[in-house]
Amino acid sequence: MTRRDASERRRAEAHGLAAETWAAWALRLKAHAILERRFRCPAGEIDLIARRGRTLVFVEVKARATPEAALDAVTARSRARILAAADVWVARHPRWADCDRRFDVVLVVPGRWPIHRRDAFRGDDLDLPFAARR
Amino acid sequence: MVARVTTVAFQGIEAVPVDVQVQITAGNPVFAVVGLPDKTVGESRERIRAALFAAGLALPQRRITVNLAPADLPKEGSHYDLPIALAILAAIGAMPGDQLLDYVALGELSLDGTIAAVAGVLPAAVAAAALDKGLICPADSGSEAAWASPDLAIVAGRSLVQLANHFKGTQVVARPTPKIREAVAGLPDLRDVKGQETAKRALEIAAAGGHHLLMVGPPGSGKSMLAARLPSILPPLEPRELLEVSMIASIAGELADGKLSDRRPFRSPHHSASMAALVGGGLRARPGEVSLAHNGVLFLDELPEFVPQVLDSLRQPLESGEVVIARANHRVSYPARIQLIAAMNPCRCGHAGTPGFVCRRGRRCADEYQARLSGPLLDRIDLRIEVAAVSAQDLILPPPTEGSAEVAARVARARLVQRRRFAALGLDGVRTNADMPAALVEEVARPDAAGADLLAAAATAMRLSARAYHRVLKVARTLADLDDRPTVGRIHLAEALGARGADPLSQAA
Repeated sequence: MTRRDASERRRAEAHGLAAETWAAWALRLKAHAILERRFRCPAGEIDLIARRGRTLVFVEVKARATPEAALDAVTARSRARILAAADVWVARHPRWADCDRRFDVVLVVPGRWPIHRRDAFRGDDLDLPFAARR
Repeated sequence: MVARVTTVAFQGIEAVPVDVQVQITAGNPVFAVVGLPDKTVGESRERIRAALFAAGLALPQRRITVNLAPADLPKEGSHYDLPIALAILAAIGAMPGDQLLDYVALGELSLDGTIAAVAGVLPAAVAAAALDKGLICPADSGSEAAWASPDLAIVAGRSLVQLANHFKGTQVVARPTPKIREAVAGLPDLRDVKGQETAKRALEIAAAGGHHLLMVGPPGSGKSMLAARLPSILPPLEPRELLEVSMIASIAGELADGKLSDRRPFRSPHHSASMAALVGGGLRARPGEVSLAHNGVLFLDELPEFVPQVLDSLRQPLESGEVVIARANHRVSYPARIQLIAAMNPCRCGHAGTPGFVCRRGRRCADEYQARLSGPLLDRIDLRIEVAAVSAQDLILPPPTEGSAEVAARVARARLVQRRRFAALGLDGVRTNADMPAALVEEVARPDAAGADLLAAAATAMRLSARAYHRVLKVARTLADLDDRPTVGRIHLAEALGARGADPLSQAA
């Protein structure tokens, strides 16, 4: 990865925040209640945590120039961190402990409506052979 | 809640019940299989996920734990897909779990949700009948399962959806019917062999008593031709033998279309065969040729060309009638009661002993070639005959009047005499003279006075080993049975001694 200076990083951050806002609205229109944005803990971060009925939805938002590039950006490492962070979040909110848990990815691409990938990954996808991981 | 489905693990031809337990709990969606699954079983997760998707269902977004109990028994093979999928369906309420408790399930899933045939359905069906349960198996294996018991409830489904509908009661899957492979017409007939009357007689004796036979002769003398005609004079399998043979074939995945055949197996492995191929073994301790030839014939052509260690590994199964394969995590035994038919040339150039022929390397040619066979193995072969080259005069002769059908009738009669005798003695496992225990030989095959004199003289002159002594008596008993005589006479002993030969190899050379 190339080194980025402070101003560049700030711009990327702002870009990411705007993408999350778009993604949150896209989810609200699909009857998801947003419970938390930008959850951070030592185990990892989650961009959006939503609930739809009895299902908790943990969302990773990626903003890139193309959908393929955005999907590529969700690496095995980041998926593992999201899964770990989800456990932490549920432990802190025992009210939702008995819900189903779904892990989605929302791809935000310039010039089109955010693309919502439901059930994008699961816990056991991680033990694929190393070459298949990204 | 834990959903359960019973399936089986295979140990030899035994099917051991295995309990598939599925628990679905709150948590990150993970699909974990525990209970010593090997790679094929672990991969079943991907097939199950795809098959459920094809059936219009998705795995629940929760933690799914699958346990295969007993957890310390290694689980191998692809047949765990179906029981795991059924247990998951029961756990999410898509199938009535209480009904599934009455069944043993096995089958492999394809990505499109169809159920693919697996090996070992017949032993699984027998185990299910013993557990007093029904069987859920692939449609293609249904007719194989139907052989186990007429009262066994069998659901042989094509796909997961069909099974789900069957248990919901919206679609009925009919019980499959047992199928038998039609007797193959046009087996090679003994009538095709011209001349070679001695060899034909030896083949008949071998067939009648289940004796091992070694044929030594130059190339082109018809050894392989004679061996290929042995199945045509052997009696068909009895029902119990048929089941044993089919169980082994089922484990090895060799039952085509789930049809059983009452023909005795005839296996002729190539001489490049490894030890694992011949006696069984490999990663999954699979049955080898010697087990696949159980209750039938193992034909080893070009005997000295086999690796000597491989041949000597046959000594134990020839004696005990079973193969025990011991591995780090397995100890598997397969039945292997075979009739060994072997053929060989007397020397490397192939013509030693033929009148008017001298090996270029002299006696060494035959000696070195024959030294590749160990004495203990040869000692176990009752009949060792020389098959001389066929002369042109023999070929001009009209075809012999006697064909396989006539010989088969005599063989069947002699086998009936033997079966009656051993049944009367209360010996359950013994069916032929070759199988009879040594202790019984003295009693059953006691020669008359003239015969006893001849045997005593021959035993000293030919320096017979204890085993050889008993084997001569067994062959003499078979000869008496072919003649339908209650006692073994001098003539029978003389022929038995002649058929054994002093040392067939030195004689041939």
